[in-house]
Amino acid sequence: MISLIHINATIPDFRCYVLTYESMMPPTLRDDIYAWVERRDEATARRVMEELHPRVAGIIRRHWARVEEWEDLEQEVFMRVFEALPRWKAEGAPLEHWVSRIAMNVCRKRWRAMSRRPEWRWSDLSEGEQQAFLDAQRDDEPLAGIETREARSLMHKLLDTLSADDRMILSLLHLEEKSLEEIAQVMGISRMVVKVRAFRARKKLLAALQRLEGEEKSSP
Amino acid sequence: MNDPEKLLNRLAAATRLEDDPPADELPLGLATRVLAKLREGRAPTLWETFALGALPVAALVTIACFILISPEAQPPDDADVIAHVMLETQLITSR
Repeated sequence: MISLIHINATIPDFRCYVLTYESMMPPTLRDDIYAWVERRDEATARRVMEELHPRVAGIIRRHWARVEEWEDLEQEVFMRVFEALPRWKAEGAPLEHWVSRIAMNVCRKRWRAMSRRPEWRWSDLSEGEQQAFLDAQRDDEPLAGIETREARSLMHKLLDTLSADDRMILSLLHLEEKSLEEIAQVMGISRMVVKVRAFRARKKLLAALQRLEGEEKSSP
Repeated sequence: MNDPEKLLNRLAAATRLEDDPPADELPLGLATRVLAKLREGRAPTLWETFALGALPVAALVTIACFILISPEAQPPDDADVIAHVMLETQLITSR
C-alpha cells in the first residue's frame, strides 16, 4: 500500500524519492476523490463519504456532546469537504489533516452560534458527573477508576463556559493532545497566540473548577 | 486534592480514555441528503442576498453624490481659503 513516488527533478540525472502522506492513503480513496472531482458522480461520492465517515464522525463525537446534532454536523462537514475537494486536489495537502481541520472548524462555527455560555453550579451537575469530579480529585484513585463517560460529559460542560476559539484550543490541546504548532495550523493563527489563549482559557477552567470545589464542600 | 491544575489534567486524561461511540457506517440517509444538497448547489445566505440587492442602490447613491457634490459646484469656504493662504505663505526665507 505504501509506495514511493518518483519525482524527476529539473536537474538532469537528479532523482529523489519521497514518501508522501498522500501515498499512504488507500489507493481507492485517492482514486475516488480524483474521479469525483472530474466526473461528480454520486456513486463515487458515496464511496468517498463511506471512507471518510469514521474520521469525521470520530471528531464530531469527541467534541460535540449533543447526540441529536451529530448527523447534522456530519452533513455540514461533508458538504464543506465536497465543496473544497477540487482545491484539496490542487493543494495536495494531507487529506486526513485537511478533513480534520474542516470538521473542527464546523464545530467551532457551532460553538460560536451558541448564544449563552452557562456557568455550571455544583447542583447543575448530574450525580455521575459529581462522582467523576470527586474521583478525579482523589490522588489515590487510578484514572481507570473514574467513570470516563461522566468525565467526558463534565469536561464538555466545563468547555461550554469558554468562547468558541478558547474551547477549540483547549479541546485540541487536552482531548486530542495536539501540539501548539498543530493547533496553530488548524486554526490559522500563530503559535504564540495559541499559547497565550490556551493559558488564559486554562485559567478560566481552573477558576470554574475551584468554584465547583467550593460549592461541593459547602453542599449538604 | 486542592490543586485545580492536577484535577483538570486528571479529568482530561479520563476523558481521553473514553472510547468514541462507534461510527463505522454512514447513518441512513446521510449520503442521500448530502448528495441532494450538492445537486441543488449552495443557497445564498441572507447576508449575501441582502448585499447583492443593496449593490445597485449603493452604486446609484455614489453616482448621485459625485454629481451633486462636485468641487466646482461648491464655492470655497473660509477654511479652504485660510488653508490655501497658509500653504502659499513662505514661513522661513533662506538668505
